[in-house]
Amino acid sequence: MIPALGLLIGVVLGVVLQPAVPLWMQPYLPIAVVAALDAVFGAFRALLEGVFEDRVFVVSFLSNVVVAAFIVFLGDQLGVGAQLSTGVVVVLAARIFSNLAAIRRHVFKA
Amino acid sequence: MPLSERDRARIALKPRSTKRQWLVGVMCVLLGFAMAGSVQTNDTSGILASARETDLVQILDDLTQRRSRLEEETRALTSARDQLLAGSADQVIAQTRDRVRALSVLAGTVAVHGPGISITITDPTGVIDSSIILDAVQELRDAGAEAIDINGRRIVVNTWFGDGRDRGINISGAVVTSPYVITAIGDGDTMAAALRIPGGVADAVNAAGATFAANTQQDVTIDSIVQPEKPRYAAATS
Repeated sequence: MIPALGLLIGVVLGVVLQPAVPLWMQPYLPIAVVAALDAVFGAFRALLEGVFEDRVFVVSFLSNVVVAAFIVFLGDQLGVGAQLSTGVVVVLAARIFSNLAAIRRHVFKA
Repeated sequence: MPLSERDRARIALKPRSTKRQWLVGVMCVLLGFAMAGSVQTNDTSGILASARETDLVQILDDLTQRRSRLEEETRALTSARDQLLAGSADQVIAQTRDRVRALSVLAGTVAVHGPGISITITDPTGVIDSSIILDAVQELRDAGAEAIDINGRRIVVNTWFGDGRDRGINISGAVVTSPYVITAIGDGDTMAAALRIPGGVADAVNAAGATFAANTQQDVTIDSIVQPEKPRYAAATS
């Protein structure tokens, strides 16, 4: 309950405050958000499967964000940033979809 | 006793004020904040501000190519416009009129006047046949005659000559008889010289027993015209 409320509060805060994202962070923030979403859906799936652990969630959340951003940063340095960020987004989106499928099976039994 | 999934979900949705729940909650706040921030950034600052260096170079390249294409198009259109302006409707019409006039003279569809020569061949005994007249016409054409008339018959590109039944010359179906008056517009002196060359038309006429007289004039008029015939077979290609 608290995490769901937190997500809502964060979105409202962001919309109200309209934070200016620092320039150096702009290429990486969307990737990091997608990575974090992957962690959140993974956590929800684990919750429904009864294997959720706060510690695992925190670590996976942080590592997902950091690794995704780092991969894109590395791609930028190598000159393949656009392609690599596309690749990261594709992988994360595929994971989100598979998590969603598992959640759906648990919730709707279908 | 194992919990059912619904129980687990219910437990999860119940607010529990544990330290770890708060930690997860704070991270979710951050996630929501970042999401909203990303969306805002995407909305307001367009593509260029957040684009990578390579993307910017790509965009710049595209723009440069597009600009050169457009410049080329501009050049083509400008030159087309200049041509159209230079050849305005009035000028085109005037040029066309000049052309029509020149072609009308050649085709013999208009009366003409100008400096030229008048030749009279008197043949009381009927010794002159069409070949001599034809020679005279060829000679005049070679000497630069622009319009030729024989006894009121305009001589044009498809005029034909034949001998009359017992005397006279058949010009495109009309028989003319002596005296033959040939009027030609062009350089009179040149035409006179061409007719008088040794063994030429004048000699031939005299040898046959007829008389030949030619005098150049400052201004002769040819009133005869021919009706242009519509070609039956030939069609213009342009």
